[in-house]
Amino acid sequence: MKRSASVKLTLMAATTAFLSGCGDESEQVITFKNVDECKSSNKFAPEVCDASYKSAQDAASKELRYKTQSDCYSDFGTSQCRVIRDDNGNSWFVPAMAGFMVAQALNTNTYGGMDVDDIAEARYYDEKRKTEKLKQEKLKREERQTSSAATVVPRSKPLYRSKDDYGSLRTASNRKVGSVFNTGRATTVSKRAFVSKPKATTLSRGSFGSSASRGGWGG
Amino acid sequence: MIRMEVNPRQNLNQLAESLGFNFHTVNGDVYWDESRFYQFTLNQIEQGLEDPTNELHRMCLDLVDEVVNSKELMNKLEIPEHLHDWVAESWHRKDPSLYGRMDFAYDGKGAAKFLEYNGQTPTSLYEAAHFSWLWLADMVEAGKLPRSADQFNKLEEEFIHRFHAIKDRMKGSGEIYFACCKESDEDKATVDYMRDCAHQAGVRTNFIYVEDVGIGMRDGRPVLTDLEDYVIDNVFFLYPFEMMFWDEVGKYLHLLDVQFFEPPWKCILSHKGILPLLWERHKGHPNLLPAYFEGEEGDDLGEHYVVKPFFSREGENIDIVNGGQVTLAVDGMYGEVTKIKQKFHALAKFGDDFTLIGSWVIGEQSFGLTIREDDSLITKDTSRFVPHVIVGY
Repeated sequence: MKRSASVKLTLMAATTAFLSGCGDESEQVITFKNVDECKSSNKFAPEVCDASYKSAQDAASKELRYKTQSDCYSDFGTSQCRVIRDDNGNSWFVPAMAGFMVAQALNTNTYGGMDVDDIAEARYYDEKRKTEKLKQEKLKREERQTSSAATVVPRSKPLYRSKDDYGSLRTASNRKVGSVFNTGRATTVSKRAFVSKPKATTLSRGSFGSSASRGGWGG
Repeated sequence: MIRMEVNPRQNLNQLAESLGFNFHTVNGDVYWDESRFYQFTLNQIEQGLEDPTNELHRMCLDLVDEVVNSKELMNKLEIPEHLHDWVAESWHRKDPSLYGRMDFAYDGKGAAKFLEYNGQTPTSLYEAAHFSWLWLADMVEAGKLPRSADQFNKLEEEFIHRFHAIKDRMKGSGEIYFACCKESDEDKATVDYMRDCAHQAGVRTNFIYVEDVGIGMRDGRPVLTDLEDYVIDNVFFLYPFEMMFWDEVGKYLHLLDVQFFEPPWKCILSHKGILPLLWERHKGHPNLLPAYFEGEEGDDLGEHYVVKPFFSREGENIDIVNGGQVTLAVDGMYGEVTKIKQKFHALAKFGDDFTLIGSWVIGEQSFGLTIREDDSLITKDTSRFVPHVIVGY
C-alpha cells in the first residue's frame, strides 16, 4: 500500500473536542509556603521536601528575570526582588519565591504511566508491539520505584505573589495555582503549569515579514 | 496515466469546512477540483516519480554539501556573506529538515523532468496528505473506485513519523511555533496541519504570525519572542529565507538563538540556482533539463527556454521565451534579480489543461504527490488541485 494506514486530525478539525484541551490535562499538586510547612504536613518525606524545595529554588533564579529593578518592582512590589548574577556576569532582578508546589503524581515523563506522548506514539507505531514494550517498561519502572522509593523526587515549581493580587500564588507564567491562605492542601493545576518556558523582554516587533507585500508566501 | 471524470461528492463544501479546509474555492473559483482525477499504474508512480525524486534529492544534498564548502558558490547564489557560516554550520550540524516538494513535468510515459525544488515553503500539504486520502476512502465507499485502488500518499503517516524522529532535537523548552504570514488561508491551513501532525507525535506546539514575531534578548543573545514575551526556541517559518535576508532581521539572523525549521541550509534547495548547478554536475541525466545561469548559456539550452529568477514563488516573474520572443510571462514582485534559464519542456496536457506534478519529500524520502492543473503553462497559486489514484501495475 502506498498510502497512510489511517489519517486523523486532532487540533485542526472544527468538529473535534480537542481544541481547548490539547495536551492540557490537569494534575494534582500541593502548595507550600516554605519547606517547614512541607515537612510538617506529612504529605511527603522530609528529604523529598528538601529536594523539592531546592529544585524550586534553583528554578526561581532562572525562570523570571528582569533587566531592571523597577520592572521587577512593578510586577511584584517594592523590596520583593533580589539581584542575581548569571554565568556570563550579567546581573538580573528576580522576584522572591513566595512558595512552591509539588506534584502528587510522580514525574510522568520518567516514572509514571503512559502520558500523552506515549499514547500518540503507541497509536502511531505498530500498536501491539508498542503496547507490549510500554507495559514492560512500566513494570521495570515500578520495580525501580519500589527498590528506591525514597530517592524519587516529584516535580516542583516555584510560586510567586504578584503586586496586583497579593493573596494568590502564581507560577512564573502567571497561572494562578492557589491562595497564600490555603497552602498545604491538594489543588488541581494544568500539566502545563510545570512546563518551564522562559520569557525575554521584547525589544522590537515586525523585524520579520516586512518584505511580505502580500499575504501568503508558500508555493 | 489517464484523467477520469467523475461527479464531485454532494456534501463537499460542508465536508471541507468541517475539516478546516476553508479555501476549497478561491475567489469563487474551484481550487480543490474533484470533478476529475488522475489514474496511475504502480509502475508509473514508483519508477516514474518516486525513484527519480529520491535520486534527485540525494543529488541535491550532495550539492548542498559542495555549496556550503565553497565561498565561490555561496556568492554565486547571492547568499549574503555574513550568513555563509550560519548556513554552513546548520548543514554540518545536520539540522533536521521537515519537508520539500519537487515539481515535475510528467505524462506517465517518458522520464519525469525536474522543473524546480520548493525546498523550504511548499504548500498544498493538507490537501495532498489528508483531504485526498479521505476523498479516496469516500470514492471506494461509494463504489466509484475498486477496493484495490490506492494512492501515493504516505504523507500524514510519515510527517508524524518525522516529528517523532526529531522530537529530541528541539531546543530549550521543546516547544515549536508554526508561523505564517497574515491574510492567507492557504498558508494558515498548511501550518495548522503541520502543527496537527507535530501534536500527534507528542511535540508541544504553538502558533504565531510572522509579522508578530518579536526580538528580545536572553543571556546576551538575541532571541525570538511571542506576543506574550515568551522565548521561541524552535520555529517553523512558512516564509522564505530570501525574504528574511531582505527584512530588518536579515542583518542578525545568524546571531539568533533559535532552531529554524526549515534549517538555514535549505535556503540552497529553494534556490533556482541549483538547476544549472545540477545540470553542470549531471549533464544528460534523464530527469534533468539543460539549465544555465544567465550569461553562461550552453548550446543545449536551445531557442525555447524558461527564464526564472533565483528566488520565486507561485510562478511569479517566470517568462517563456521562444526564438527570441517572450511568449508567456507572469508578472510578480521578484523583479530585478539574477535569473537562470532552463530548456523548455511542455507540461503534460489533458483536455485543455496543463498538469504539474509535485512530488513530496518528507525527511529524506519521497512519499506522495500533489497534482495541479492550470489552463496556462505556468502553474500559479490559483491552479486547481486534482486528486489521484493508483490502479493496477
